[in-house]
Amino acid sequence: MVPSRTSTYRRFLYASLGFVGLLGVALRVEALAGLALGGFALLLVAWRQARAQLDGLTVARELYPSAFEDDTVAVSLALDNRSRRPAWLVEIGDCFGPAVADRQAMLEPGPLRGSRRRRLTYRTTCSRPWGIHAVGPLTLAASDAFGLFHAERSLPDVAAFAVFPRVWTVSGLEKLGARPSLSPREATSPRPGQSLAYLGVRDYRSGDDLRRIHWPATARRGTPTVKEHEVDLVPYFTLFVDLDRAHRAGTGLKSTLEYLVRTAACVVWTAARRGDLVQVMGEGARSLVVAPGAGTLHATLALYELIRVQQDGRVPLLELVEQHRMHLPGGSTAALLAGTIFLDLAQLEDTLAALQARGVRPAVLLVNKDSFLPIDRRAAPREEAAEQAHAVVALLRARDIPGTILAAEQDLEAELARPDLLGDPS
Amino acid sequence: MSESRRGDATALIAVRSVTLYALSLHTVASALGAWTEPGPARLFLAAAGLALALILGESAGGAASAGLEGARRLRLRVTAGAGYAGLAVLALTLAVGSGDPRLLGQEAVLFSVFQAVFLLLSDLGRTHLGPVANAFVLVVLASLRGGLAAAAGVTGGLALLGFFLAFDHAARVLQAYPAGRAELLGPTLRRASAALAPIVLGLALFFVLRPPPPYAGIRFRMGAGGPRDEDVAAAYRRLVGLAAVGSAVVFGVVRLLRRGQAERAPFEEVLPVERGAEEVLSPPPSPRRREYAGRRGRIVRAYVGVLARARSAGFVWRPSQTPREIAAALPAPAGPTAALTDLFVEARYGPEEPSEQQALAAERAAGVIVAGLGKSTGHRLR
Repeated sequence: MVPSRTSTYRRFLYASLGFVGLLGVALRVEALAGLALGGFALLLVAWRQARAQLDGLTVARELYPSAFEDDTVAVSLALDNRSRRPAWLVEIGDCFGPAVADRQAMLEPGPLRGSRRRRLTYRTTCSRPWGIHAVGPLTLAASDAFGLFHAERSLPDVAAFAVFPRVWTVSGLEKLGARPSLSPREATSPRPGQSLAYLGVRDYRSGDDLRRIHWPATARRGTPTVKEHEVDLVPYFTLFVDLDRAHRAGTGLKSTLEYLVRTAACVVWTAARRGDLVQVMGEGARSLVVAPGAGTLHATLALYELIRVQQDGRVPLLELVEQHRMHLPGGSTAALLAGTIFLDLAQLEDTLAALQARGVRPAVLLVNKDSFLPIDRRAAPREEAAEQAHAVVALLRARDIPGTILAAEQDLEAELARPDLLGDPS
Repeated sequence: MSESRRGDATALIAVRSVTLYALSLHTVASALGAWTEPGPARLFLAAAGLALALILGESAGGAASAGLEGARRLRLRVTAGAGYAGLAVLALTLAVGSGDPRLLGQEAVLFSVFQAVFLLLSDLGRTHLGPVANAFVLVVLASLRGGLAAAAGVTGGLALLGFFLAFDHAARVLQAYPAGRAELLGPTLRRASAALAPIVLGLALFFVLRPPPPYAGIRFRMGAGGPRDEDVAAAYRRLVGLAAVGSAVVFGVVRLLRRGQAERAPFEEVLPVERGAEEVLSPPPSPRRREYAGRRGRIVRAYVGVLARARSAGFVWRPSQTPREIAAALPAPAGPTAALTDLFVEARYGPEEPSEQQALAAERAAGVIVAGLGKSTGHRLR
C-alpha cells in the first residue's frame, strides 16, 4: 500500500453525501440538498483533475545495463511533461531487480512546467547475487488537489540488467605465458624483436633496415653496426570451464556452479586487467564461447557470458581441451577450471603434456564437488577424495604446473585473493 | 530529510491543523448559532476549547495508540466508528422526528463536545476522519435551521473541508518521501482555491438568491423562533476574529511540536532523488512527414497509427529500435503484431507496391493490436 494514499475520505464523502442528499430531498431541506450537490461537484472536479494529471506525462529510464555485486548504481529517470499544465506531486515507482526491495518509490514534488523535462536520479545497491535481473516496469502516479482520486499508469519499460560476480585479482596469473606481438606492449622479453626497448648492437646483416644502423658504433668500430630491440609480448589467455552436468553439487552460494562462475570471473578479469588477449570456452547445453579479445569491454562481455552458464553439459572438460588444443598459440596460457577433482589422471597428464609440448603454459583449478552438499549423486567417501586430491597435486607438482583445489569449506573470496593461489599446488 | 522539505512538510502540517481547526470552529459555531443563543462567551469558549483540544491532540494524540498493535487498533477504530455512526443517525432521526428546537440545541452542544474529543484524538490513525465526520453532522444540524446559519454552515463547511483535504494530501505525500526541495504551501492553496472557487461561489450565489428555509417539521415556540439572522451574522463576525486568533495559536504551536517529527518510517524503499534542472523539451516532430500514396501509404499509416496509440497508452520505444524490436516489446497480441510489422517493413523499404489484400491485412491487424493495447495498458483511476 502506498503510504501517501488513502481512499477513506472519498468513501466517507460518497456515503455521507448520499445520505445527506436523500435526507435533503425527503425532508425538503434545500441547504442539505445544496450540501450534497456541492459535495458531489467537488468529487466530480477531483475525479476530472486526477484523470488529467497524467496526460502528457511520460518517464523513461537511462541505465548502464550491468554492474558488479554490491555496486551502487545510479538510475536516471527522465520525466517529460508534454502537456501545457504543470505537474505536481508525481510519484514514480521503479522495480530495480538487483536491489533487495521489490519497488523503489520517488517523488517529483513539482512544479514541472509544460513542455519541460526533469531528470531524477536515484541510487540503489545491487544486493542480490550475480545473474540477469529485470528492471522495470515504471509506474507514474498522481492525485487530484484533494487527494481523493489517484491515477496510476504502468509503463512497460522492462530491461535486463546483468549483475556480475564480485571479482578479485588472482595472484600468480602474471607469471604465466605470453606470445610475441607486433603491437607495442608493456611486457617485453630480452630477445630481438620489434619493441621500443633497447637490447644492444650487432653487425649489419644483409636485409637489415638502413634506418636501424647505429652510426656512432659504426664509426667507432669501422664496420656497419645496427641497433637491436627487445621483443614485445602479448599475453594470451584461454580459460576452459567445466560445465558437465555430472559435476553439479551444492545449492545457492555453496554450489559448484557458484564456485565455477566466481572463479572463472576472477580469472578472466585478472587476465583482462593485465592486458591479456582472453578467450573462454565451455560446453553446456548452450556453448560458452568468448572469442579472443582484450580490454575492459571484452572482459565485460566474458562476464556477461559467464553469468548465463548452467552446468547442464555432457562434454567432459578434458575432451573440450582436446578439441581446442591445436588452436592455442604457443607461449600462451591455458587455465583448466574443473568442477571435480575426479578427473581421469592419465588423460589429464596426457592433456597437460600435449599443452606443454605446444609451448602453452597450463594452470589447473579444481573445484572439489564432493565437498558440497550432494544433489543427484552421492559424494565420494572422504578418504577416496583425499587420495584423489593427493594424486592430482602430485601430478601437477611433477609437471611443475601451477594449480589449486577449491572446496566448499573454504572461503572462496579469501582463497582467490591468496597470493600463492597458483603457486605450488600442495 | 533535507531542511527544505522537512520545513515545508512541517509548515503544511501546521496549515492542515489550522484548516482543521477552522473547519471545526466554523461547524461548531454554525450548529450552536443555529440552535442556541450565540453569545460571545460561548463562542470564545468554543474557540479556546477546540484550539486546546487540537494542540493537545497534535502533541499527545499518538500516545493514545502506543502499545496497540495494528489489528487491534483497526478493530478499535471500526468499532468506535460504527458506534459513532449509529449515534449520529439516531440523533438526526430523533431531531427530525421530534422537531423540537430544544433537542436540536442539546444535540448541537453534544456534537460540539464530540468535535473537541475527536480533535483530541486527531493523531490516532492515518486520517482525520473523526473530526471531519463530526463536522459534517454539525453542518447537517445547522442546515435544518435554514437561513444564514444554514447557508454559512454549508458553504463555509464545504470550502474549509476542501482546503483541509488539499493540505492533508500534500502533507501526507511529502511525509512519505525523503529529501529534496519542495515548496508546496502556495501552490497547494492556489490549486485548491481554483478547484473550490466555482463550487463554493455557485453555492453561495444560490443561497443568496434563494435563502434556504428551515426544516418544515420543526415546531418553533411562539415568539421564540430561535436566534435571528442578525444575531447569527453578528456572531459570525465575532467568529472571524476568534478563528484568526485561534488559527495563529494552532499554527504556531503545531509547527513547534512537529519540528523534527515530519519524517515517518517508510513502508517501502522510498529513495532520495537528485533532481536535475528543468530542461526544455524539443517540440514534437512536425506532422508533415514523407507522404506514402496508395496501398503502400495505407500500410504505413496503419503501422504509424498503432505506434501513436501505443505511445498514448504509455509504451515507450527508442528511435534506435528496429520495427521487429519494437514488435517484440509491444504489449499486444503477437500474431497480428508480427504480421503488421512484416507488411510495414515490406511496404516501407521494399521495391514492390503491396497488393490490396496486404493493405487490408495490415489494417485488420492494426485494429486487433489497438484493441489489445487498450486492454493491456490503459491507466487506472482509483
